[in-house]
Amino acid sequence: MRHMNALSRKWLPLLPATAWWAFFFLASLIGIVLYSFALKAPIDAENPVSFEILSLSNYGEALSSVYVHVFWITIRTAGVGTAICLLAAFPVAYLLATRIRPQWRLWLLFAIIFPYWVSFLLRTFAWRIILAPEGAFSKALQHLGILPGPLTLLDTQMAVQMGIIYNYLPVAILPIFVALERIDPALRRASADVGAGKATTFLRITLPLAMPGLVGAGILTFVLAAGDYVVPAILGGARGLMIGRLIALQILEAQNLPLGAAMAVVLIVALLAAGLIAALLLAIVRRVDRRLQGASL
Amino acid sequence: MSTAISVQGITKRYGNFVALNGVDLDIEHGEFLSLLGPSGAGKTTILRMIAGFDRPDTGRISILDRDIVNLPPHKRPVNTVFQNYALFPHMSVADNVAYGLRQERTSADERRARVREALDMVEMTTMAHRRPDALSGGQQQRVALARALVKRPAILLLDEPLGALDRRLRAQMQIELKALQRETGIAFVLVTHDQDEALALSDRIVVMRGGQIEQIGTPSELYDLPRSAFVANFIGSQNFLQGDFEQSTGRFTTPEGIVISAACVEPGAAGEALAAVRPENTAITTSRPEGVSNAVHGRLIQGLHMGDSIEYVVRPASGGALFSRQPRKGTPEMTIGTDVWLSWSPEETSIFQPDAEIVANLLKSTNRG
Repeated sequence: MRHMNALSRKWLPLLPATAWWAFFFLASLIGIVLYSFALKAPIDAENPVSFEILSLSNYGEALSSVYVHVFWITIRTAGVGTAICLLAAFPVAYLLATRIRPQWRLWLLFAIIFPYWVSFLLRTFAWRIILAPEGAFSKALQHLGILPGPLTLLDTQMAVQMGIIYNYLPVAILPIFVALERIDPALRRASADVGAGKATTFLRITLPLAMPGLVGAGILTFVLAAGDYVVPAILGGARGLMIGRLIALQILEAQNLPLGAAMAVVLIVALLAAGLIAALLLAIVRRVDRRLQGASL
Repeated sequence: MSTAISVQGITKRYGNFVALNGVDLDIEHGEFLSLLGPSGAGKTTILRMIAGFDRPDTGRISILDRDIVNLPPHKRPVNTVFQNYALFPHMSVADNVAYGLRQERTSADERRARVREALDMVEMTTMAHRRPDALSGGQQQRVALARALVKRPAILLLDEPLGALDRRLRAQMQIELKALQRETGIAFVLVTHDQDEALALSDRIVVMRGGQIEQIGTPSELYDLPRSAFVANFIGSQNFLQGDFEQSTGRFTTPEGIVISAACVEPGAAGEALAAVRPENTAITTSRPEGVSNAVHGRLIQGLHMGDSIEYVVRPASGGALFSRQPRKGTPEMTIGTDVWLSWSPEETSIFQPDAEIVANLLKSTNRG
């Protein structure tokens, strides 16, 4: 250790995580990209993937109108899910960070995370019971006169949307909570002190300072939701589709790894594009706001 | 001078803790007022109530005879310099200062002019485009002042604003604060637990203790005519002697039989009492001085250099320690370990009702001796 220079000593602790990441994430990503240019091998071949001819034909298929439609549904479901998760998570995180006494916070955070102790699969299956047309919830709604007939949500895109929101809400709460908790309460007081009302203080002080948490929560929720294939498989039935489920079908059942890989690559690109568009919109909003505010000096 | 803000009969409890207990205080236009006291005395609570961050349980806070207790902070004509400055970290210095003006209906031209004026006043114009985290503590302090002063408040509240600065910077900021206050003519209300700071800056000082006002006065009044042992002890330093005060004869006698005469007696002092004299008002001699009524005999145990003066520590036969501060020039060197006399005149002596905390401290130091 004594002979090691300062630089390597500084970076050494990063090595295990970097190696792990490089091997399992980067390597498999490169593998997927390579596979996406290959072709499905004949049934009797030893290897399920043939690299003899490399082509873009998988991309042609992945971008055919049927799949493009599913990509669109996926981005829309993940986008709407993310927006609702952020909107629902923010007030919870805000109350937790500002109104709840520190000694209670841990318990409430624990309560928010608690569902994660139950398997993802089981929790999602539980929604089948809740949403069942002949289930107790459906009957109660009919009994109360809210619904004329049985609940018809199950096995629709709406059920998938609900399942996505339910599953990723805690993931959205945590980063926002952390960001809000780090804001010095004196800043809100200082804002009120120089004449800003509650709404202005929220828009000008709390929200901008919570932005890193919101962006983090948004990316996390969006990426996880867009790649989800369990929720559409369990709650979507034939009508509720997301691309994750189709990719799983191609790889696990149709044995068409190259097509699955191409679809995965398209999904990654679509997610990046969606993220880029969101970042662009945010930048434009900021630019316009600055313009409207006018210079301070 | 006329009253800028009047605080009347303010009481505040937090659970069982009485933070303020019937506080009356008039803050005059253009004065520099300090709220001085140990932590928990209620200084900051008063400030928070004037700013509007806390509501009193009972009492009135009025500006021009209008009660503002129900007015939220952003509608009050007072501004605050917060303890850790509370600058908005995502805004430049100029944006921080402009923020308050944006809440008013000022034109863009007027806003820019006032921001420039405020930044000029605290000499931060060259730093206008920096973020707060790129500033030193003293610079952040100045931006916090500019952000509050740009609003032209009736009163500027300062919550221990110099506490986070080092000694040298603090002394410099004290001078600047005083100059700013004179320049703007705005009433400054400073919360501090630093008596030197309060003495140096204030037109008037409010000494607080346990949620109540102990005494209000100019620095000289508090220093020369403290009304209680607590004030006498809190402002400047003080030698205390425990003893018995006979009201009818005006005689104060220590348990060892030393008789002390005093020109100043706290009303109500009788029986068990404290006699007080400041270290700088005592003389120290090797033989009993002639014609001085108050004298205590003891052993010189230490001489502490204080720069321009020496603080001698004398231990009387009864134990404890008495202090005598002498200018370094013109005082003959004293030998540590010799017997000396500490003496002072009745004019420099006060008799106070006993104060539990001071008596406890005296007993502690006596037992140690």
